[in-house]
Amino acid sequence: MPRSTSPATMHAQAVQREIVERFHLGLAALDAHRWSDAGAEFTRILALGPREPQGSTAAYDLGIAQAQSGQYDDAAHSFEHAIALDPGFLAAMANLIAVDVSRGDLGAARIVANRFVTLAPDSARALYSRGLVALQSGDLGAARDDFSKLLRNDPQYAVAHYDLGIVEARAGSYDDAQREFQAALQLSPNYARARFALGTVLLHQGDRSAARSSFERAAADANDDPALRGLAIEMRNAITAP
Amino acid sequence: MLMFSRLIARLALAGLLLLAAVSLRYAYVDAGVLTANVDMLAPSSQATLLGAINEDGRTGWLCRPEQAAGAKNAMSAELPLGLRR
Repeated sequence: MPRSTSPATMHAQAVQREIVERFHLGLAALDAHRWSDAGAEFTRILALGPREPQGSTAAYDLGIAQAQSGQYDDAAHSFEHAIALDPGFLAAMANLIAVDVSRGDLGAARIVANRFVTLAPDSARALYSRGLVALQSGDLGAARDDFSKLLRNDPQYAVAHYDLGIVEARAGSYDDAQREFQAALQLSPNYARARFALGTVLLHQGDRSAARSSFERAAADANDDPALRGLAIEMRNAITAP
Repeated sequence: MLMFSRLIARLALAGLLLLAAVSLRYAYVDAGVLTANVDMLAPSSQATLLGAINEDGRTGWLCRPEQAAGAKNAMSAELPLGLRR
């Protein structure tokens, strides 16, 4: 930055130094999970009227602090502000979708997800997020399209096979669902949710013995998920009940 | 002879009733299981939030969150991997 004795220039330089210093303090507070302190720093930066990219970045970081402290409406507003300042800000879109889902606004999440996919058609996060929102909204066709495209780009992604299996199971296509759950388990053999889902499909198809084995294995693999483990044990026992 | 026939008939009826009861129990268990299962299949969890960005902004090679947002690969995109669940 060139030297100057102009009061306006010196003021601008002081403001810029304060912005940079507050970024450092805010990021350190985020690292330490001091969400309120972090939020205060980024709010102050925004009040200083920063130029781009610091304005959109401060709004984005403020959104993270608010989301982490459960203030989802405020967080959504901050991420929207970041995107308004920088319309190509993909990370802000990704986080806005997550916040919209957390506050139960699937309609808003879908609008952002559509924009995200338009800007980054091959983005795994864009396709995954939009697929999940579509699935939760009951739009099985759109969810199938997004998870299928995600798998064409990354065939080794077990979770996308699992979600595509859920889509097929809800659509009543149990053969396709079984194939997807088996693909997920081939890539990730300890994937307890996929094992449980496979058991469900096998039960629908009348293969009680194989279903029982799947629930048994799902219970064994779900040690870190007591709810799923309990459910798997209940299912296994229900099959053997006379 | 007549008593013997009645005994046979009663046994047969009892057997049929028992069979019906057992079948009903199976049907009840299956119906409960199958109905519950459709709702039990939950989608995977949402991806966690992407991390903070410093004062240099999202452009450039050093901005990991923005790179993750645009990544084609699930691991680079910091998506859930489902290894345990």
